Amino acid sequence: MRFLFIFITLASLLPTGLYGQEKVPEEKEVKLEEATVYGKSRVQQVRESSFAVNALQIGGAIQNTSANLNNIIGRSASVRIREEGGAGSDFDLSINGLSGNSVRYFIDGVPLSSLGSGVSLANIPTNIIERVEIYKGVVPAHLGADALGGAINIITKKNQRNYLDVSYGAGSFHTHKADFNAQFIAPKTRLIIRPVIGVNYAKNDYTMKGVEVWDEASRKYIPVNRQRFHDDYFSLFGQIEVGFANKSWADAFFVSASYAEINKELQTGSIQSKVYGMAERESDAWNISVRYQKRDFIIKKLQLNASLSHAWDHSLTVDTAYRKYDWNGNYIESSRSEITGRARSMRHYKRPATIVRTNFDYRLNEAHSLNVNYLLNRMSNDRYDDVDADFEPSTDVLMKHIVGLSYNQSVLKGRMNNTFFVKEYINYMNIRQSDLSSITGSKNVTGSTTQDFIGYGAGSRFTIAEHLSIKASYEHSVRLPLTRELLGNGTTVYANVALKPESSNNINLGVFGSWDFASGHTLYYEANGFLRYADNYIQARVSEKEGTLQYENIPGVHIKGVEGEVRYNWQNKLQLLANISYQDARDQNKYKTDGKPSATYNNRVPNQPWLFGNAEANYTWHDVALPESKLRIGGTFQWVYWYFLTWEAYGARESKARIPEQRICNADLTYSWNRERYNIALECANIFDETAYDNYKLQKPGRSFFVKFRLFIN
Amino acid sequence: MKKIKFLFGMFTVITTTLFFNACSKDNGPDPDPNPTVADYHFDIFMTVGKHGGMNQGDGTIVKSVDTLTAGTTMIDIQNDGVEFRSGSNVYSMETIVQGKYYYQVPGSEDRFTKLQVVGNSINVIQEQPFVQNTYKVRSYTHAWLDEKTLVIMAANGAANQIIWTKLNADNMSILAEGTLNLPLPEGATVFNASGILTYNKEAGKLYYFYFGKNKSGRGGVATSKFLVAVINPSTMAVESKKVNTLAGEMAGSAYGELMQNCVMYDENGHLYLSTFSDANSMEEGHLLRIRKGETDFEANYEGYPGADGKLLTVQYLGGGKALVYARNDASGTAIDSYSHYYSIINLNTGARERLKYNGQEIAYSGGRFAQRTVVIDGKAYIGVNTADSNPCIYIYDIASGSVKKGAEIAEGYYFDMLRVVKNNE
Repeated sequence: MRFLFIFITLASLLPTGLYGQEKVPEEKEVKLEEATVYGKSRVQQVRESSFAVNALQIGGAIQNTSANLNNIIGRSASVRIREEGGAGSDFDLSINGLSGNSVRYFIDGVPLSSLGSGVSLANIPTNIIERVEIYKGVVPAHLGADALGGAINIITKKNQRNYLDVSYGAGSFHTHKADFNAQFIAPKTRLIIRPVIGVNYAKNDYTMKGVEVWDEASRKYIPVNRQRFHDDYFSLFGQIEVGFANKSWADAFFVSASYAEINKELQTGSIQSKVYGMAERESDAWNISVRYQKRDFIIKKLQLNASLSHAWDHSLTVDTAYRKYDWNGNYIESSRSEITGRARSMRHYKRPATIVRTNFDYRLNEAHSLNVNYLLNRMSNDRYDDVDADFEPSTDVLMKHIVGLSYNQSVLKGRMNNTFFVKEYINYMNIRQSDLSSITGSKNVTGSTTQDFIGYGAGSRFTIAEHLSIKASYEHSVRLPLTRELLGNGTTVYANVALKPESSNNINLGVFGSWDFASGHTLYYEANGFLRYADNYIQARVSEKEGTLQYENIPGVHIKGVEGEVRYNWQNKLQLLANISYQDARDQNKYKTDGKPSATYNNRVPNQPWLFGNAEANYTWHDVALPESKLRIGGTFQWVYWYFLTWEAYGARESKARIPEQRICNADLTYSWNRERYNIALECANIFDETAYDNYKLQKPGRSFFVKFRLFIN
Repeated sequence: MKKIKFLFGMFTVITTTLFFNACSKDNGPDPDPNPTVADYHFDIFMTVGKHGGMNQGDGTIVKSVDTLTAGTTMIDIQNDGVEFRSGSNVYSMETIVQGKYYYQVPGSEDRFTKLQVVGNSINVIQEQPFVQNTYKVRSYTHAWLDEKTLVIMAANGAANQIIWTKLNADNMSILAEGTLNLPLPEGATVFNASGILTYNKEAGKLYYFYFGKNKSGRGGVATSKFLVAVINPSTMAVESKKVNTLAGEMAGSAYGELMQNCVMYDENGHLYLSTFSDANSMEEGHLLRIRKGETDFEANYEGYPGADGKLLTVQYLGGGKALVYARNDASGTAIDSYSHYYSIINLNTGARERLKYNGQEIAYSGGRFAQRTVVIDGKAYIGVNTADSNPCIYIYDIASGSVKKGAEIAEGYYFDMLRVVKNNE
């Protein structure tokens, strides 16, 4: 780690004066017959930054299909998405082995949660997205995130022309998807109006293989195949953005309003033998926001990016049925509710959130720039229950201020880029609960309190030769506790206001490059190694009062791993991609809660995929049947090696529960004509109908088909 | 000669009585009145990473061993033992054990399951889906009416009624089920989760210990000292109910005796119950007694006088002696505090002596939610988890009072539970 710092610091002291004033040259290739200039795409620029980052272009080829962001991001190196079921199911995304709250999500640099808690990678319309940046371990200061393991930043399209993008698709398991996305620019005033609507619906009635049902004749549970019967999912996202671009007073000024609604029936609990038939979850959120962008703001070379948003977010979990269902869809009248097994409840969470982001970028010259980012995230947590009279409503307030300062330099004629950054995290909370103060620690923290933490890091990219660059980055990252972790949930989770943030020292070291080894042939490769030393993990443990939980800090996990990716492109006709990731996460908890040595110390963390890969192939024919048409055939293969559900060293291996190996093949065929104005795609997911699990015994969908039509007028 | 015959006869009677009582957790059935340890094996429940209780049992591993005597290889679960799950179901270590089998409501919370641990595998013997009353994993109490009839009882979801189910333990069929005609205690809106149910064979009645709270959840407060209801086991009619005046709460109110034994009977048919009261800045343990045939606690009886903390488990050893697991509250009340210790108590005098080995008191153990003791064949096998050494077993000889050190258990795991289970023939 020290070596890394010294390396980057020394590199930064290189004589920038010799090179610093020169412009970074564009990559170019000169042919005798014709001159072709290749400008680096924004995606390529991001990949070549000093951060360990995957950048994915969300082009028409992807938007023509039904793939959602989860599907797309899940195919990139070091990212693993574990889904509990079909469309709309809960998922967990990990980057280099760190998952859950360790990863933060942004849309155009603003926390995605500003659109409501229900808006996720699974339901945000892909048609509005230009690219996705996946930061691994080291997160740029301009994102203003308390992310421990990484961040995903979704960049939306910012076209300068009118367009209309409409699509509708339908497929297996009663799945329907419709998206509408357009931009209209008033000719006289240049007022820009951008409406967006995205709707998803699925019954998710796919077949569950080998589930147990009771056979009275034999008086045994027997394995059968049954369709899911209570897994409907509906999501609606609507947004309208109105504003101006490229005016003297603003490069961009937009006001927007959005509404998101998600309704989800719940089919199972954490194991598939726990079957629900009535429980459901709903959420809706309104958002208004304004954003302003201006170059040469007040002074030359100073750019301002500012935004303000407020969301009224409301979620509801309905657990009112006293029924016990089985996989036949039958039920008996039960003595208790489905999810909690207690009294009926309709639990509401209202979490109004205000987010302010201000970013100043000052370019000292072509080679040096400073960036200051401020993010305020204020969230209330208002809980109440419609039917459970014993539930104690409460309102807690949590406010985060995250200030980031970064210095970026480009030296050696652009062969080297360095970034140094420091982040300050300020956590403010107002504790309104005072009961059980000896357990919650609230006797020492009364009323409001403020905590302050510092994170820092650096990154460097150096181009050794035309086809070979190396990059290294480091961050001491911090993840502030969530409201639930700090303040409990009023019923089963106690507050622990003394909870410290999680922290991690994240290190990346990689090589990459691209090689145009023959005319029209481009090979891109990338290999990275990474270390994650996460400490002060926030983990739930059973509290003194039985049946309740309390979050506490424990020593964390150390992860080391490698990943590699190779991409090949032939004349934009043939694209091949393959990547593989290996990560070894070892528990660092030396002692059990009784203070004695723990058997888990330095053991591989269970229930986490540790070896997985993806492969992808696409081929495009031009002018097939119709002029200016394209026929594209694509296939993807996802592979995850099996892993143990529990600590691998303990218990007879033959008796241990495993999450089996996954080998999923998908294929799609897309035909576009009239310059991609009309597009139709046929897809088949899980061609070989593999029984796939991301989580123990929670089956994912089998083979499915989907057809989608897209009209794009530009 | 007559004297020798008489002594031999007395010895036989006493040892038979000891064995009879020793293998019973409560006054339940004992199909094997003269158990010998050779016909039994020990199941050690260990968990990795977390305690196994509280239904955190993903990491629970059961290791079966034939003996717990010294000289055996250190007991370890590295690449050995069986995960307490089968198929898509996960089992809770809070379970009923009787004879060869375990009985429980598994994680799916849709059935009753009878299962067996055989070596490194789990055999599901028989299951029975819920028909009317539904139960949560680890949140119920039970009693054996005879060797085939098992009664399960718990509060319903709203916790305003007590539901019960009678099972035929042979084929797990439901014999009958219903709701107790038991009103909430005065001022209460909910019952506690499970209460403690026991079958008092001498009285021919089920005794149910319970209390009410002013509301559910963590803020709920008991509205009175606990109550005892007497139930006709045939009709399940509540024949009487009464608030006790001696102690606040019985031990194990949330999960019955699925893990810890808190009810015992002596050879005279007297019932003993482990209880506690908030007094003298601690959870002060009390051992209360209901005399044979009575329905209320004996007013002047205290089997555990001068407690220094909570009384957690009790097991009858015979001859007026009992093995108890208790806590010294001054030394810590957290789950893992090294403040728990074993004693042998004299039920007639209240005198007790902390368990000693080689003349030294055995150090405090960690583990509030633990049941690491079993009694069989004239011996008590006592598992300890002291701060400075590996967990191990001490073997207490009931007749002589001597203590030997038994098997050692590898460090690194949570050693929460020890069960003695009959072998397959």
